Amino acid sequence: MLNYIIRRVLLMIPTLVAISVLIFIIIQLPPGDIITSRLQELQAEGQDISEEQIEALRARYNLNDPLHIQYFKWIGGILVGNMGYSVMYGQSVNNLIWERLGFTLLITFSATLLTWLIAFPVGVYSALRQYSVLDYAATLMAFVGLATPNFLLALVLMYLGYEWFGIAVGGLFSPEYASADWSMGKLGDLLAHLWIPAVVIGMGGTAGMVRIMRANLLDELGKPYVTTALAKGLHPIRLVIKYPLRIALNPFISTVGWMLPHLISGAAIIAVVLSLPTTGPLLLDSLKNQDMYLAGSFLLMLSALTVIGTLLSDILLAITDPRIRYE
Amino acid sequence: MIEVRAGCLLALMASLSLLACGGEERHFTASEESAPAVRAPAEQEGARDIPRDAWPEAWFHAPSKASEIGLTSFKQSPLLDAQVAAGELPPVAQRLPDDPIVVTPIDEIGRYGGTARLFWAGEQLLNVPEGTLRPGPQLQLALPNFAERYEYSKDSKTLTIFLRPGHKWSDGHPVTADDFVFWFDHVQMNKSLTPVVSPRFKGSRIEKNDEHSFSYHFPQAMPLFIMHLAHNSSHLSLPAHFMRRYHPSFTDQAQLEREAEELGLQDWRTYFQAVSNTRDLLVFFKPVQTAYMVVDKTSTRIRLRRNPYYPKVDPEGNQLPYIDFLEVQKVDSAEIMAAKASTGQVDFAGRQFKTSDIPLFKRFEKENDYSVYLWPRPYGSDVALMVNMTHPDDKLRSIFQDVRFRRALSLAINRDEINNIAYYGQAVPRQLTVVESSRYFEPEFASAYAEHDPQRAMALLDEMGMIDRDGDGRRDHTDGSSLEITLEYTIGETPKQITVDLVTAHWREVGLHINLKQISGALQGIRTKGGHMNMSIWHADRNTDILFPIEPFWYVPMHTGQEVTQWPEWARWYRSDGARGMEPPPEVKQLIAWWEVLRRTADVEERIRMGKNILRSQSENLWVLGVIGQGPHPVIVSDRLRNVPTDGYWGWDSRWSWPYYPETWYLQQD
Repeated sequence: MLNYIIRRVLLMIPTLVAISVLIFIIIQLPPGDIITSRLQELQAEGQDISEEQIEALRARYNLNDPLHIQYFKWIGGILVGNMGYSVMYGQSVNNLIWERLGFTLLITFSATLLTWLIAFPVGVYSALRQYSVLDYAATLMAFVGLATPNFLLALVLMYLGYEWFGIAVGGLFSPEYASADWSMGKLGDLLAHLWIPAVVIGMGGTAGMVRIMRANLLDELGKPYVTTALAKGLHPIRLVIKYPLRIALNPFISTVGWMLPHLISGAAIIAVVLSLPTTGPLLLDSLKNQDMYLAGSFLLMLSALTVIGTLLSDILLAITDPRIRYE
Repeated sequence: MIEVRAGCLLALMASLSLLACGGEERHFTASEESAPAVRAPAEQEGARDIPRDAWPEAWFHAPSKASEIGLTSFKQSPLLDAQVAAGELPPVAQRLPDDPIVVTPIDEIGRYGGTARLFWAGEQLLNVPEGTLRPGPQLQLALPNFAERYEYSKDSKTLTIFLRPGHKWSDGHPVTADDFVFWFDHVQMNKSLTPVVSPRFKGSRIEKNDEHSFSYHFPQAMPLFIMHLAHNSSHLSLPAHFMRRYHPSFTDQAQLEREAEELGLQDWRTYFQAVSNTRDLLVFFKPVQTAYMVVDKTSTRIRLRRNPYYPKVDPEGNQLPYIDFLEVQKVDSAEIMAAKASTGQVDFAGRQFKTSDIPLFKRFEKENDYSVYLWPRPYGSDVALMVNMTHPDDKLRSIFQDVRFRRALSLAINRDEINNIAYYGQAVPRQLTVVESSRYFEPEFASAYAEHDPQRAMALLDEMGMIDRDGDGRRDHTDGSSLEITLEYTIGETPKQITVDLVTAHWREVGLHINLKQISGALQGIRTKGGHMNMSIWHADRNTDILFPIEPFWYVPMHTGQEVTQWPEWARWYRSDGARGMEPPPEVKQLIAWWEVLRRTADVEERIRMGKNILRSQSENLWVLGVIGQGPHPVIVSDRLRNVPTDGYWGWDSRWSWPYYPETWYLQQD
């Protein structure tokens, strides 16, 4: 097992190097760079900016260096923990990401928690009482959830939230608490706002999980060992929890690692719609504006987290399911 | 992937507006809504020029001083009472300048207090980056603001600015000539901070005369420099007493570099910039002259508090501004902003809104307690159509340089149809020229080739020899080869998409098939620089007396930038003193010559004559084509926000709200 983990970790290194080169090339591919897109904004406003000034700025940010030099400058910084400097925000990438990571984690975790809290029991119930009224209801809801784009749901909830409860649309706090110190009132205010993004982000996932859980469990329930155990008089609930459910959990475990990249990129569009202070909009902006260091660091972090997450999933799976262990 | 998702998002936003309308079909036509609901000025057949009496007469003159109206006692916002009582702030009379500036509100004396809600993009609407001078309400005049007065030498080469004694930064430190000298000598003229000196400062120097006056010395006459000061001069000074600490001319550079690194900044330059822009880091609170100062910021909000040293009072001696706090909310998408505005969640907004948002705003105006004011955009044309007269391809260039071609393009456009479809009939169909309130305006400039005459357009094209020779229904090159013209455009700011769609349909009716290609903003810059575009568009701001005389780049090849694509090589020729680019023909050199006189002469008559020469040439040669101008812009004003003029010019030339004294607006408390 230890050998396996070490081998996997070593393999991650060339993977990440290849990814970093790819990311760098892809970001450089579209015409223009951060300077042209920044200046475009200024000129759209009416600021008087000439070609000479653009050239001077480009030189200042080393954008005239050959590509491989730019790449090594960037990757060299990352190796020592300096993700570079965002031209768009005028701050270091480290600062920018840390500033938003807290709320991103909060929202992603609450969404995931919500997903699991709903998906597990509903999925199990649907499988155990297949073709019952409640199963059909759950199935219907699940398909609606799968078919509805998340941001549409966000828009609908925003409208209803405002129309019915008078909650200011978007954001995580009401204006009166936004810059206040932490207090019970502020916590309550946060919770009152948090449910919208949590529901919206969790919705699609919940629907999918319910279906997977139901299908997996149905596969297991028909197997002879279940019949045998029931015939031997094992309590049905204990039986289900102890055997079929454990096996049905495998897909959950193998996807749990994907949560990691979602922590960063999680629902960028929803965050834009709901004005959330998360990393998603930052990623989107940096890509749109070709803010090299910010976008590159984001994508590299995402890739690294995906690779690590996959490894974690595999290890967890090996622990929970002896059948898949490499020996 | 991201692009695709963003695309879906936009489509979905459209359904939000439907949703918000409760599924009802939207009706908004000129006949139903225009006259009574839209508080328009005395209109003549849709003309959207605002009469002078829309604003107090005082706004057209230098603001009075307290001594002139015998004002001797001053009052302050109750918010500051405690701080004054505790000795943290000096009393109001000591915080104001020796002779405070008196501003007349448009309707009534306001009441203190409250928090105004704004969008991130609109913070400056109530916290205007004010400078020494200000634009008059009709965008014709440069009036004193923080500066008491200005004085030109006889040859217009020296401009002396007189500051107001006792005017202070928001930390109580006096505003002096040193603050302007510091910026000029150590920021503008510092190669590291400003790699390319702004053309208007090339070869200039600054001189401190005494604490309260300083002079700019220009190598040539610059009688119109005051227009620049009136429009955009807040950045021409920095609090020297505060900023010296972060500048290597005054502080050890190695130490600044060290501090920058600790803060995660690139070098001392970015450190200096971050300090001068308080919002970036919120570690250093740089003193300001504006009405408000930043006190708190998160990644989605900014909170601002009144500047206790703001130098203006109302006629009863109440220190301005009336409103105590600004709460600025970050909203990432323009559609969500419109949704929030239409549900009454903002006190004043307008940036990022579109003409096409007007029906949505009108629909919810009453039930959500706000009003939509339609302020005309002071644009010569919302969409300026440009053909590239310096295109590298010989055949295309000869067509584009032929004035008959440009006239035919203009005559083929059915402007009334576009006005009705995209503007609810509320805008002005016109040729590209300055706005009507400009002193350079002549009615025939706006009507030149602006009528819809497809017959004449076709006759002009036939005369050029651009005839359909292969029978495919499209006109060809004069030599019979097939003609391909592409109009590349970016969207945003004004109704560009719908305008190009309609215009190309009109052109098809006279046999000209022009391809449309939407490109990204970044690509627009690169395509302009290469001079490759056949045709492109931009919105034609800079058509008021404030900016037309100093930046007439629609009409004179004096600017290289992605906005102006009609003559990139001629402009390059002018900017490089003939070293690069193409030499323009004599009639274009004449434009440059006229502008040189216009910008150097102190004689107002001659200046206007030169300006009209330039504009007359435009009206005959159509260097750039106009479509619809002075279009209505939706401005949202909540019912509790008072003293907001119902009329104003909305755009870059006016800095949106600046001429209309937003410091005199107040919140009705209930």
